[in-house]
Amino acid sequence: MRLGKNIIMKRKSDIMKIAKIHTALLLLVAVVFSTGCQKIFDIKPKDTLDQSQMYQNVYDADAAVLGIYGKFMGLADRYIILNELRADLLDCTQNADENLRQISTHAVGVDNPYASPRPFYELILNCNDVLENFQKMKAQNKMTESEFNQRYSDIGALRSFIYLQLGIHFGRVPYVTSRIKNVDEVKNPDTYPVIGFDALLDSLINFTEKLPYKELYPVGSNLNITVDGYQTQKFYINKKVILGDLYLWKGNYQNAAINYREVMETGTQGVANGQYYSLYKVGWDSNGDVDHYISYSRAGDASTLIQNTQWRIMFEQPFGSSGFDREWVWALPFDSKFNPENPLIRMFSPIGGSYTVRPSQLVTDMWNAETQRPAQGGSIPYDARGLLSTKLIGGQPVVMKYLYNYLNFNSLLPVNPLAKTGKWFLFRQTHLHMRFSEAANRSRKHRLAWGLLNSGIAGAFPAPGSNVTNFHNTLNESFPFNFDARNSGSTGVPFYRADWYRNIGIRARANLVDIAVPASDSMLNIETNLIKETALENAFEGTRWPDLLRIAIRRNDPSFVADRVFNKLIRSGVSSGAASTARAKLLARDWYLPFKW
Amino acid sequence: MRNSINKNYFLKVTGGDNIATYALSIGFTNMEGVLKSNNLTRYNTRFNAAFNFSKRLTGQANLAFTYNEQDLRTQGIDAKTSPLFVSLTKSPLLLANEVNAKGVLSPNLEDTDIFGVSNPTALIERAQGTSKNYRFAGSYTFTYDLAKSLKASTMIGIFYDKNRENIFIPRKGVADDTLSNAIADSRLGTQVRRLFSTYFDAKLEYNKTFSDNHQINSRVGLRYQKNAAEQDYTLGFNSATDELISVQNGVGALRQTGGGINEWNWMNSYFSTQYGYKERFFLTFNAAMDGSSRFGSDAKSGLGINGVRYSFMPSLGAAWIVSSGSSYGTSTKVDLFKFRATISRTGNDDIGNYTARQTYTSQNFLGMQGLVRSGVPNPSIQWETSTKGNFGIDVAFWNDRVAMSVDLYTSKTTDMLVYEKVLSGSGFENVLTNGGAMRNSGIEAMVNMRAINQSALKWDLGFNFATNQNKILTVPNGQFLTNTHGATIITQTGAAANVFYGYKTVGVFKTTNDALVSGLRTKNADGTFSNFQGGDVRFVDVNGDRIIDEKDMQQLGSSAPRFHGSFSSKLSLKRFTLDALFTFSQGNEVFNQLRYYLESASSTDNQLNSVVNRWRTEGQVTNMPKASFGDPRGNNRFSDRWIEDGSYLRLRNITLSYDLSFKEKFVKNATVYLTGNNLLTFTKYMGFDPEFSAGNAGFAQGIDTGLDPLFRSVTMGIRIGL
Repeated sequence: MRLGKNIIMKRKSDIMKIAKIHTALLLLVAVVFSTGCQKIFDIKPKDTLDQSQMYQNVYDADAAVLGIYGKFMGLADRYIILNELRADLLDCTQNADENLRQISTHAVGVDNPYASPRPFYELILNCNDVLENFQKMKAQNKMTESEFNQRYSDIGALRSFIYLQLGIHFGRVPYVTSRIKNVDEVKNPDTYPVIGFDALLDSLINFTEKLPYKELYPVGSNLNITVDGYQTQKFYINKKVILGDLYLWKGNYQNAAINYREVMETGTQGVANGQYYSLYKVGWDSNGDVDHYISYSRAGDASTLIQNTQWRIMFEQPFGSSGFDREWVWALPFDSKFNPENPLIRMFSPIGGSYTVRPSQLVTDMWNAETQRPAQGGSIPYDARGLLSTKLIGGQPVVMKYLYNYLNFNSLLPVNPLAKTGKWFLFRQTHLHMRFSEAANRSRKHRLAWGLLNSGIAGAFPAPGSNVTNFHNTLNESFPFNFDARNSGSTGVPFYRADWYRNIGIRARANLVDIAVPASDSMLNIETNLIKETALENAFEGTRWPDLLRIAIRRNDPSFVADRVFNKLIRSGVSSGAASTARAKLLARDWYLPFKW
Repeated sequence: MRNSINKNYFLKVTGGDNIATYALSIGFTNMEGVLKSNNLTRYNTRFNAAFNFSKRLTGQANLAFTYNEQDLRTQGIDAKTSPLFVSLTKSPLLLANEVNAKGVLSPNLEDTDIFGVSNPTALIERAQGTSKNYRFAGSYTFTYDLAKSLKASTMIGIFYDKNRENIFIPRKGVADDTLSNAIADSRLGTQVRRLFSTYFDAKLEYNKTFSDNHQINSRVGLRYQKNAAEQDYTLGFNSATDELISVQNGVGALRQTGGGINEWNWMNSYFSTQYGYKERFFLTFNAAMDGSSRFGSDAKSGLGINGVRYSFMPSLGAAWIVSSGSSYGTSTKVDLFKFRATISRTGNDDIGNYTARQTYTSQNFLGMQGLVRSGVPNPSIQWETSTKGNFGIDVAFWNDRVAMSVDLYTSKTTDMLVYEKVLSGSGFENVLTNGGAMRNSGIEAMVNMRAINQSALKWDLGFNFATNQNKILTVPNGQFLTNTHGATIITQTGAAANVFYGYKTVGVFKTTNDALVSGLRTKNADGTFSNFQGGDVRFVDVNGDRIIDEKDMQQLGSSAPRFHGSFSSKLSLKRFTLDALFTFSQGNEVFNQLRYYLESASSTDNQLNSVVNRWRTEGQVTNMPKASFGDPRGNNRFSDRWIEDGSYLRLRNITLSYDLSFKEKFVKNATVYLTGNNLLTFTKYMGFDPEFSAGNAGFAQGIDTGLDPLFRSVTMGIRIGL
């Protein structure tokens, strides 16, 4: 018994000893951990930039803007496919895969990669991140007020443009304005409030109208420079154009016209030179490289259509050249020296590309139905813009607008098959004039709209004699419809060379006869012709589907889009069943793509 | 392919006195591969020293330096630069050397052929691929006896690894590559990779036996590791001639450079204690806390101290030796009977270095460099946790001549790292989260036995066996597919990991009429459907819609074996010894990607002999579908045609050796031996070799990409002890 007790006593003291030692050891561990280990574990990556190192100064802000536009380039093929192939001017070739055919026939499956909204949202998220951080930078005085205004407005306007695209193609979309900080926010449904197209337009107008700066990056800005041979000013979105578009979609024609008109007046400053009179004014310049007419070396001789300059050259001209600058409002270059690879050559070209899309038979028929202005006692019975927008290569019709920097217009051969240089065209002065006219027409300024479409303002308000004081103008209207295009000629008295005196009109520039308007129904007739003219002039430039849809919604007439798509499909040889299905679908106002969550 | 020679030399010197002892070893190995161009040379030295500074303070130094130089060519599936693959796909009618009009063979190597296929001889002889690797590891340990049962020690060490690689692919004899804006004829490249780690370990150890019955052994310590890795590469193209092989000779405008820097820190504090009672009962408790720069600050589990998350990894083990004790007398024949049980938790921090951080990466806009976000950070990213329970029995009897042990285990991995698909409105495809879970359970058994035990004749037998069952418990959205190396692999809740997922086939349509009667159709690229025809593969239409598409894919088996193991035998008769080791694996499926390329009959590539047996006329009964250029019906889609049973039994190693005896004092002992490796393999697998690995990733297991195979080797050698 005593022995047993001893053992128990001893064991107790052992346990005490062990416990003491362990307590001491645990204390040691605790001391080690409580002395800040935070620094040891805070390792910033060295080959990428940590959040804490980004957005420190205006150069970081510039890098953020460039990053956004670099990424935006990745949307080029998607933009053209959705906006053109869904409509009636662009068609699939034999080489097109199922996904493209689905887009063309309005039978889009939910897994169709072209219908994925994800790439749009990837850019939106990046924009949201930039916008939020720019505001922080401004609050911390890391950018000046004007630096902030310019950059913030640019990215904000670009985001509105992308959202407008989403609205046009998907209808109801999640309107994400958060920069999605972490995975928890990704998974939180509150991040994605879904709104309809009309509410989306309200939100976008509200946001875009409040942007603090609506001009271009000024000369001297780090972002308005010449780099790698490119003048960068036209790379960035024109904020007033997107605002005009938003108002036009919304049906606020007055505000749409105001914004478009302000862009049309971009050149009206400084010395009264060629640029003053013809930048974004669709004006003549007596220089084929600049005013982009359809013209012939011998008037009336169809075989002498000028190709090495004039209308076609606008697609080939380099950024920064005066002809390019007068015509284009927004375009981006693809250069073979840099990523990304030009996707448009892959789409359009049978040489060096896979030639998956082609001009539709319908658009060819539309060009062929036009008549040119009489010369030498006859009229050429087609629109020559068709011959310059498309060409036959190896017997196959090819969309040429995007290929003129790659294929020689004459030989139709590439200078260097691997140098896939080109441009992504987004907006030019004819878009501007057609949309302004659309807004003017809806604001009951029918004759003004008709004039901009046909033979210019002076052509719509001709002077009976040599005194043009009360003609050639709409100065009795208030802004934005007050144009002064008075031109007295060199002999007229009094003498006038008004700001708009060179305005020629879209159809006159294309050498086409004026469109006559029946007195009974001028508004709808002019509107339909404006949309048609945009098709003839700006075919394949990524605005056809929005144009058709906008009118169909405005007139509450789904046949406006359905019949045109039907006609394209029938004439392209798609089965009449598939064409009718597409028509019925569109007639039922089922014109949005499935939104794949 | 050729026979090759391997060389192996090794020298070891030891010495010292009661103050310092040392050991130095030097080795040299040269192994030539079966491909003429491939060989490996390795030098390694190692130096260990121990110092007794005082009675209480001792030190230990370890230094090791290794240098490897390796000549390599592209391996596996590469239609342009892999000599083995090209030699299989190139027309066998073509020669390696140029032949003039009179049929005279030139010593010059032939250029690419009319199909544009490279010349494998040019790839072996003219191409270059070298890898030089330097590795240094050094550590120094101090140990100080604080008291009789208390010891403190610290270790500091560094590890440096540098790898320099150079490649050159000549223009002549090799198919051109196409870059985005140029044709690449010759290709040049260089790459340097470095890893530098420093580590530190300090611990206190306590050892004591109380009143003869209680043994305690405790340890507490702190480990810290700092790692920096860097990789830089340059690729050049189109050097002026094939004699200019280093990367600076490439055309300047086409040069590509890149690389990466990775740094991470890890700290671990640990505590372990073992308690033994009368050498019969044992209890073990371990606990570790890990902090890492990789963990997110909002990790859901673990402990938060001062803004940092630490994982907490405890384990508890118990063992009971039933046989040692008075109640188990010598009367029984059992020498050892022991139960073991452990429950433990471990973690894995292989989660990427910066997953928890928001970073910005460069995005070009023409030649200007912009910055964009790279993904979405996951500040709650954390280690994967594995909880394992193990129960084992060890038995020995027949005077320890038979020893057996069996282990049963089950482990559950939670917080498993997965790519989780997220809403498209986020702009992201997927994010890395700890959203998966998996279970592994299995049995491992081992028997060793001395069957004959006489002074002149001894025979030892051994047997090892293991089986493991794997089950995915959760993955986001129930399942996801992974496409790698031409295979599709499904990861699905409730199923095993790494299961091949594709189409099942039932032979080939004998006639076009059979095919039409079946009504089976396949979708073309333009969205229209085409009927299968005679000579096309008959795929199983799982959902009965008569359309063979991804809805008809099903599980085709797992690349994990049902069981695997080895058995060994060692027979010694006087001075002769015969050692043999067999390994086996049963029930693992293999995707034979090489055979996929050599039996698909859809291009101008040379094919296997089995393709001769392809379907050619109506009514022909065969298992080999017809040749069809470009494979319009998808006969070559990922199906059980390419899945094979990878089971094998292999005589991995057999050695016969003879001990020489010496009377002189100069030589202590010497042995002459003859070793054969991989001499015999029993398998139905049709590829080069059933044992391979296309990569380290789990998904790459079980995919045979036609790498240079293991080869048979016979080594003769002599070991001399001085």
